Amino acid sequence: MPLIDTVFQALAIILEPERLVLLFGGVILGLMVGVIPGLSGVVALAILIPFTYGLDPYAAFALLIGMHAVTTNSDLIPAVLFGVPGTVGAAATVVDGHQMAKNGEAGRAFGAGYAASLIGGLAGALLLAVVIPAIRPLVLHLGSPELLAFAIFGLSMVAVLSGTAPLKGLAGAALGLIIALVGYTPQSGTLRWSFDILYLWDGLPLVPVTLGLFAVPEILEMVSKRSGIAGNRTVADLGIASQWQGFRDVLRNWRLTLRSSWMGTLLGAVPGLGSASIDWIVYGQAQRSTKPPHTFGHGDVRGVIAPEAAVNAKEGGALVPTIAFGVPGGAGMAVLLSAFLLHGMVPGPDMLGEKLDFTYSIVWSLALANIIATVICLSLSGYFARLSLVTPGKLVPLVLAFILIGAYQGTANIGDLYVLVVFGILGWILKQNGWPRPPIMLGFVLGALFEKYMFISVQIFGWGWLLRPIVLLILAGALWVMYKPLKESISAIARDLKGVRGRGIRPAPGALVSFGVIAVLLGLLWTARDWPASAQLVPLTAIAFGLVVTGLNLATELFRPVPQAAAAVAFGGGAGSGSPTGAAVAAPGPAGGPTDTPDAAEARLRSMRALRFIGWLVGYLVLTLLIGLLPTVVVMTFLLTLVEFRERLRTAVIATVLGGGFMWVCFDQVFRVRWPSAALGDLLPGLSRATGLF
Amino acid sequence: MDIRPIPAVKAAVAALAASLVAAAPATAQDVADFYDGNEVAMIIGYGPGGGYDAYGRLVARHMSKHLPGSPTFVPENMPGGGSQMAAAFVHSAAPKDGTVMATFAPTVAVGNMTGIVPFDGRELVWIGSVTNRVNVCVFSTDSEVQSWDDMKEVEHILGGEGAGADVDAVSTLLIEVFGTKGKLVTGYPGTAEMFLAMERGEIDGICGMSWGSTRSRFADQLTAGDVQVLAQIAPNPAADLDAPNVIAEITDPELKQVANFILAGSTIGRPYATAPGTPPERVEALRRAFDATMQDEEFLAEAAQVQLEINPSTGEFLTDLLEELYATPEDIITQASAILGE
Repeated sequence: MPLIDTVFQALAIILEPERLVLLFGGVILGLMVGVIPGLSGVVALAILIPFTYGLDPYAAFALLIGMHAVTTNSDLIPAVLFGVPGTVGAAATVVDGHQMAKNGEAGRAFGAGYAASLIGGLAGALLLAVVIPAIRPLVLHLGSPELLAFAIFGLSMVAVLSGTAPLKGLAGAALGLIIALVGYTPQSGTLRWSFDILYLWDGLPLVPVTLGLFAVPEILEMVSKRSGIAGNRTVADLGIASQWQGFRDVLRNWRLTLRSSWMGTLLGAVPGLGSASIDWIVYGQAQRSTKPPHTFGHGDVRGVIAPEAAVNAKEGGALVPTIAFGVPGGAGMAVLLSAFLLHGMVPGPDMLGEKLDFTYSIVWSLALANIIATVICLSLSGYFARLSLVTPGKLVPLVLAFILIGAYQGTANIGDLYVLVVFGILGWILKQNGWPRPPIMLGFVLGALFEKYMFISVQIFGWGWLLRPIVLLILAGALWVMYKPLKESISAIARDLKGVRGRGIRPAPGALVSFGVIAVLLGLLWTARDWPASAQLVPLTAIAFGLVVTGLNLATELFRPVPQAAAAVAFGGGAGSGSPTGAAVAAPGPAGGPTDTPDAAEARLRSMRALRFIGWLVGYLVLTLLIGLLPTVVVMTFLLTLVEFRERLRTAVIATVLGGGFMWVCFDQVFRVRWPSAALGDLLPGLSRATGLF
Repeated sequence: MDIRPIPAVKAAVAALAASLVAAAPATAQDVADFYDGNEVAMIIGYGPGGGYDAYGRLVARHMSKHLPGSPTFVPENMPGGGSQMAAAFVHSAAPKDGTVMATFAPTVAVGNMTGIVPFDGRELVWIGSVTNRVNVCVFSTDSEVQSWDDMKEVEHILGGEGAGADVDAVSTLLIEVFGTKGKLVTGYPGTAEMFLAMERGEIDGICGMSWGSTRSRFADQLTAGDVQVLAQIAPNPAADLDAPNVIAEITDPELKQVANFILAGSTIGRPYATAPGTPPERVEALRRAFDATMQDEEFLAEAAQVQLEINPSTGEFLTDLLEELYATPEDIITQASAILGE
């Protein structure tokens, strides 16, 4: 039983007090990184590694793994409370988690999320432990065709994630795919849709796009409604009891939890699939495989459990190719890989032979980190959940500030802020008009992977790539995913189209959006006319597909008799018209909001507030160009609290000082962010150099 | 510190000091005073998790102690435009006082000649390069191709990373100029992935791997005989490698110039530059600190540990090299661009 001996020897090593303290410290750091939007575990790793020089490898990796593994435990806190994903892996949690908070169930969402994260993390560690002896042949079976098949499998989830708006969902996926292809393409060296803007060369960065599509619309809704997150509920059960309810939800859905966990681990081991795609794939899987799927998007606890379990389980899977071959599946693992080497651990057969105790110490670190993180989160989240009762005036300005600074962490370029605002407004328009956003996200995170491995596979294997056994297996999975929803969708589309009448044209206001999408697609088609054929293939296919489905959608919008309630779902008019936030997933049908449809005056007031807030956002950008980002955050937080939300001066000062101070310490002093240059800096170069703020 | 000169004396001393400063060139002491307590930003043209990031952070960690005044080096990632964003930043926006260094792709330095980069690489102030590269062709021993001669006879598949990468430039050079029977399949994320693809038999080999990094990162496969080096492609071949240097086979001087132009990126390697207009004494200090870092034993030990190849060039060398490259006749550049398909 030498293997078992090694496993427990590794546990004994990790349990030594000094290493345990480091693990604990790493977990606390990781939880903080996870809870603050935009801060990434990758950058934190790069900063942390030099501090591990003096440590032995076991201690060093207790710290590093402890930090990196738990960012996905705490990232659900802002996702549930504000609809702001703490890391890109929590975007799927927003859909149902935030809706639960609105239903007054923040505590339950937290409990379920933590428990799922814990089980996912442990399952990931366990699977890593089990496959370690057989790891190398396993990874060798994943060639380019298999990676392509995984990308297709992921994309097939679009069929599920489109919910009750299949045409809009498919069009969204095409849009996402197109967005993914912006920038330099390595195959032909073509610059696609970069319009001579250097910023667009490397493609649109993930963080500002995610925050724009998901976080900004939530903020706009909070602003237009002017109520706390949990509506106007005065009593919301946030105590430990409600968290236990979430725990029980996980136990009751143990099958789903375990399935999501192992899927997360498996997908995590596939190079190129990160938490940004895994959360959606597994969310789709949950929706696909549970019986009454129509509560997804309306605050279904299973919509929190599945992605949280998967994203935490991912870490164990991602370590597999890193340890076995030194092939990091993503940026985080690449940085971790350099730390392995630094501590004399060379990935490859050694890690599975001579250094096996070290490898198992990583497994233990992973498992213990998840347990510690869960305990910490549980004991603190009673306080966090209380935030859902705070009035928006005290919260929104600060949350907005975090979103802006978080988005800027994308590439530390002013372009990140433009992307945030553009995608924020886009996301809001889409949400108002019942366009599901998850398919866009899925197309965006998988598009480049799909194109890359399609070219490699076809060039090397021709059509033969389709006949490889693992590819067939994965593609069969994709068919299984698509079959039922596609069948339902096709009959729904047929029903919608049947409703199309030549006479009695009453365009739904939402048709404007379809018109806009078609115009954009045609514009993109025009700009793509001179590219080499290989660079055109995927984007033109996506455009053609997008045009067809958007055209069909437009037909249903133009020629279908419109029930009167849908009038509220006009452009901006229906801000928060009672339709669930999960408009993302379960788009409000033409029937509109079911119960609390506000009267026309209230609707007008709300859309006025939303439009005014977009004005504030633009003001944010302009002021940033003038006086720099961090000073703008301070000024705007103060002004928004005082002027827009009419809070007391004292409140405004406290929010500004605490928020601004925290951001300065965190981003300027610890993460050493280079702030965008501003007009003020040109005017006062001395001050600019002394402060480094603009 | 308790000496408080009376105002008149203070003024006189100040005047004297001022006249001395005006008369004499800046001294090492001035450089040390400037850097003392100051910060130097190490701008990395790519995100965390890549080679440029690893080198940049390594240099940043060790360079401080060799620079007078020992400023703090702060690594910063500034990705964008295939690292052009970072180069453009030092070229025009960064402070011109020696507090910024940047590392970016060597192609950015010469890209102006082919119209890819809007500014002239010679305008940047070059500090040095951590390593140049001797390009090699590494093949799986399972492949039918067993020698450089086989490469010209037997059809084979080569892995690539994308247009503009060293691997792709070298592979294309071999196919177009030497007529090897390779088919370049490009788009792999990195060398580790290509090695894995070679182990799976998806591709036969990789041309344009750096010999230094092959030797350190894939030592196991080399000693086990899973892979072998069939050729080297470098203006200056490696001493510890007995594979044929194919550049020596070129007899046509014009073609040789074309090859050298295509290999410019390998010769420059992983460069570091600072802003134009930086005071010369600080440039000098940065260059010598860079050179000293490249000799630093701790630095070298750490580089070896994390399997980063160190084969440095000085800033002066890079400056001369760029002068030479920018003097390349137009038709040579056109030929090279045609070969690379740009």
